[in-house]
Amino acid sequence: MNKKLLRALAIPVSAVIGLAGLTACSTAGGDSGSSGPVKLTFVNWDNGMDVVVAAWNKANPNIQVKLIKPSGTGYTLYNKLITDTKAGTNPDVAEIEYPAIPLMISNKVIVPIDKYISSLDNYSKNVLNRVQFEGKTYGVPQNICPLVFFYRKDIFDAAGITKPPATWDEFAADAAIIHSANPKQYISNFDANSPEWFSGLSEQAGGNWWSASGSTWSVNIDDAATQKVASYWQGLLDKDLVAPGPSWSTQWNTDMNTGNIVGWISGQWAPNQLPSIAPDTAGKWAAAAVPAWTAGDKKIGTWGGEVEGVTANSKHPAEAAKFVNWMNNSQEGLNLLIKNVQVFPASAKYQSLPALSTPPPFMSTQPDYNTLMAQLASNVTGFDIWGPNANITFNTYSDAFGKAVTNKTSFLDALKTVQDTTVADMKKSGYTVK
Amino acid sequence: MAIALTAEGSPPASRRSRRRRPALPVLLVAPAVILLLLFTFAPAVYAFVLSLLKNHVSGGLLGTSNEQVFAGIENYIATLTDSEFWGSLGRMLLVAAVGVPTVLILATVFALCLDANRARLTGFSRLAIFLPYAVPGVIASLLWGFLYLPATSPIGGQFVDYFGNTTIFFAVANVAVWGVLGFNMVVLYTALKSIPRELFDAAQIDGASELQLALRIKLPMIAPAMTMVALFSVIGALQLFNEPTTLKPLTNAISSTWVPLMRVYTDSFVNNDIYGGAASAFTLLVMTVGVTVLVNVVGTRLSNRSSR
Amino acid sequence: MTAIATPRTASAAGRPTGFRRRPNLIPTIILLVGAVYCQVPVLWILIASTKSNGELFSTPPLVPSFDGSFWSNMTGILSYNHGIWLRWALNTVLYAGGGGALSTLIAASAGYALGKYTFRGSRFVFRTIVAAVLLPRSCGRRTQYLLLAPIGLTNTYWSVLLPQLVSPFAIYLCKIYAEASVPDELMEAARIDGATEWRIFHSIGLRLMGPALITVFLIQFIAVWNNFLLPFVMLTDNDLYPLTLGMYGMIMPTGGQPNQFSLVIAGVFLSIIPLAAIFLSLQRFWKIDLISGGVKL
Repeated sequence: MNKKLLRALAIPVSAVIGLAGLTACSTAGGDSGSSGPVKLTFVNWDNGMDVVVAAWNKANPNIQVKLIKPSGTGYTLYNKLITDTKAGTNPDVAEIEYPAIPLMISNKVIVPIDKYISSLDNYSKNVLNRVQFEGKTYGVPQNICPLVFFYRKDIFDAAGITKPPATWDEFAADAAIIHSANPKQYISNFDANSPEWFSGLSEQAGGNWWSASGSTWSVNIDDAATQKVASYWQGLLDKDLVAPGPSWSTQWNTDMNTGNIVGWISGQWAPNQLPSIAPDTAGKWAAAAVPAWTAGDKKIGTWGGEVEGVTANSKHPAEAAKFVNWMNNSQEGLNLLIKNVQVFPASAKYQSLPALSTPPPFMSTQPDYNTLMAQLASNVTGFDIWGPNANITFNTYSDAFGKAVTNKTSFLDALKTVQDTTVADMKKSGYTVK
Repeated sequence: MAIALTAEGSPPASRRSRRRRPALPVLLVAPAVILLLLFTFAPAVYAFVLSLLKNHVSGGLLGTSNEQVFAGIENYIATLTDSEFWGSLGRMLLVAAVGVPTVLILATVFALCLDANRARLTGFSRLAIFLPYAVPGVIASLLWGFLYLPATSPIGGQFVDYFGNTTIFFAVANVAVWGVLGFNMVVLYTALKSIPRELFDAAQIDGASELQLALRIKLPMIAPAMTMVALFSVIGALQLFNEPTTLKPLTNAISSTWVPLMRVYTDSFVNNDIYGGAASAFTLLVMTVGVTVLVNVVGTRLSNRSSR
Repeated sequence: MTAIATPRTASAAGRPTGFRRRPNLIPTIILLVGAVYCQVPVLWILIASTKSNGELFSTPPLVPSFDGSFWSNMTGILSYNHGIWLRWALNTVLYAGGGGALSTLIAASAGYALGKYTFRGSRFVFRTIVAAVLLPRSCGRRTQYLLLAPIGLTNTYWSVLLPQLVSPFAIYLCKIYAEASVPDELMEAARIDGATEWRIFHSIGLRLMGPALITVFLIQFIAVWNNFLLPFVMLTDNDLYPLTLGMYGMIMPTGGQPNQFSLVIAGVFLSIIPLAAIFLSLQRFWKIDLISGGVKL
């Protein structure tokens, strides 16, 4: 019994030691052997990025990039990067969305790359605003993700709605038509789980959550424009014209698939996700501009969009910047991104690439999908700047609005909670807030 | 096979005539002690240290300098005056109030049934009830999430809103109960099996029914085991995390600070406030230890009284 | 309670035979209800794994689908992302099996030492270990991460193994069992015969503790298998994930990565099978009386 036991235990034990030994040697950052290739590590969660990286590796034997898919995405990842920056174990390059860049800068996670980049002339001021702070550039903008209104054309037609709503008043009217024709159907849901959905809508209304003058911050999350947006959606919810549940839950997936939810205000990247959300409905959706507050107003907000930042821990920032520049600011890189990750380029220079002439597979019935995207992209507006603690703002939004939806309490109160919590946290950390 | 265990295990070696103290026991205990120091006590101490600090940004719009400064009990005050902290404690206690008695009662009932005279299909039932123990909490939550949502529910999710304001507590408690029921049942069943059968024979001759047998003889004899089941269930309830976290994306009813451990997690990993998170964690630690000591004391008193 | 069973009514098994032989329905029914309750989710997942993603949300939950989706789901999950599911499964075996085995050895050594010897500090150590049983494990995960980060050990296999190598509860169980099952006389006899303490430990002590060690191993195995927060905190690299973390990632919505419910369901179903099989085959080794008996201490 004793011998068998020990023998049985020996195998897993030696496996443990063996495997652990193999991997204990893996470190972040690259080798700096003058004779070997420079090795970079790159953390990114997008599907299809491996093809892009493979193409780079093939063409650049001297700079080899290893792609790592992270466990947590978004702020879970950013917080890990923040902790690890002090330990020096961050990868060379990391995917960072626009709203998180100030957070990364103030926590010394990413470094300016001006000296490695030749030119960023091909980007509009609006886009550059998202990556440039106090005169330094912290990333090469990859994509722009305007908010888009996706809707079930077939169901709208059947309900007698021949064109998508052009204003929010029309949206409310259409919501009523659809819901009274079929009480199980909703034109959309209110998404308390997606803060950037709400911030994008607030941008469109003219909200300006953060601005800065010198070193002083001004925080106005509950400004009049944002309050207008919150009240509007509360009105729809109170009249039972939109579904209350969050997006991406199994319930919402089912509703999208069975036609109980017939519209989705989402980002440019939605057709990437729809195939697994609502596979039975391929080809039935159409994309249009999000309804405006006043007819003819083309301003639109965004949801998503990112750069690849070069981290402070990287021992090869020049090579890392070279890789990033190729990926996000070269025809070759963007062609690969469009084809495999389905991005929409941030720079107008690449917005008419031939690769964009085919619509995403899910939107096959709308061949001019990317033309619409280009149009929307040229009218994108945003906050002056994203706050240094946007993660707290976003988390509070989900909690406060989620609670308000469940308990049927005031959205304006929830909004105030978001504002107060954000300001309190900024002050606690030592920022000067007006 | 019962192992009667009392505290009489002290080896006679110390009472024998003088002998060299062997080095082996110290060596054998060393790995455990070192690991405990490194991975249980050191992190706790570090957490305490962190809880007394905070982050301070200075210089420029985005802070050219970021330093740790002494914060005293600021973080603790912030935690203790935060209504959300108490709210999360309250919610966790509600889940525990539903879950712990349920586990205890169900496990006891099932164990008694397994031990009942002439019960049938016991092997099958025991296995079927034990199997959920093999399913990790996160997976169990995913499964039950599907079962709760109207879209995919075979248990009437279309009619009952499992994610409503009050039902959410039952929904979360249910997932936890489902996972540990079988294990606790087997613990109690084994305790039952170690009761000498002669005690039953006498009662049965006197004409006691199965039920009376269960209530009057079996229950008091397994009282210590029941206390242990209660204790571990309470400890488990205090550490509630996996279930609400996994169910959170499915519903608006669960916030990111729904139970205390979620709050610790949110502070540390979402809000990047390791200092506040450490203060919450340490506060929780102290409360947990206090509660478990209390349950232990109360339970021991109760079982002492009943076995007299 | 002093009555003695009269020989007339006692059968060989100690049970009175003078009663009716009808099966006792009430406990049987109660147990079956319990069994159904416990098996409904498992049944559901078996049925759900026969459906494709679209069918999942449009057909009645308890009606299986026979259009071959089962096989495409199985092959789908196994080939997903270059076969990462198998990698995750292997990692889980490493963590749970290897980690469980190592922690059992450590617990056995410590339990034996504390149970069969008194040495300076042994009582203090034991009391501390008992106290540590009460400490919630999850509160310290963040700081464990912070402690390992500066030495570059995060995001490695060790980062998940090391914190789980010592389980106060396992040590406690081993100590009790060592005391109860390793007779001092045997040890003394071996000493007289000239055996070293080490020899006594591994050829007498470990052997006699064998049955308990299997139980301890199984408990540790399950505990590690179930542990979600630790790998979640420590690991960034997909390749190092255990199954729970990997599948949680697949189902959680993230920008750019759509939910893949039918694949996850297939993956979950697959992961339950080996664990259930291990349970079934090792049933006779479970010595749960160890746990319930330990209470009397």
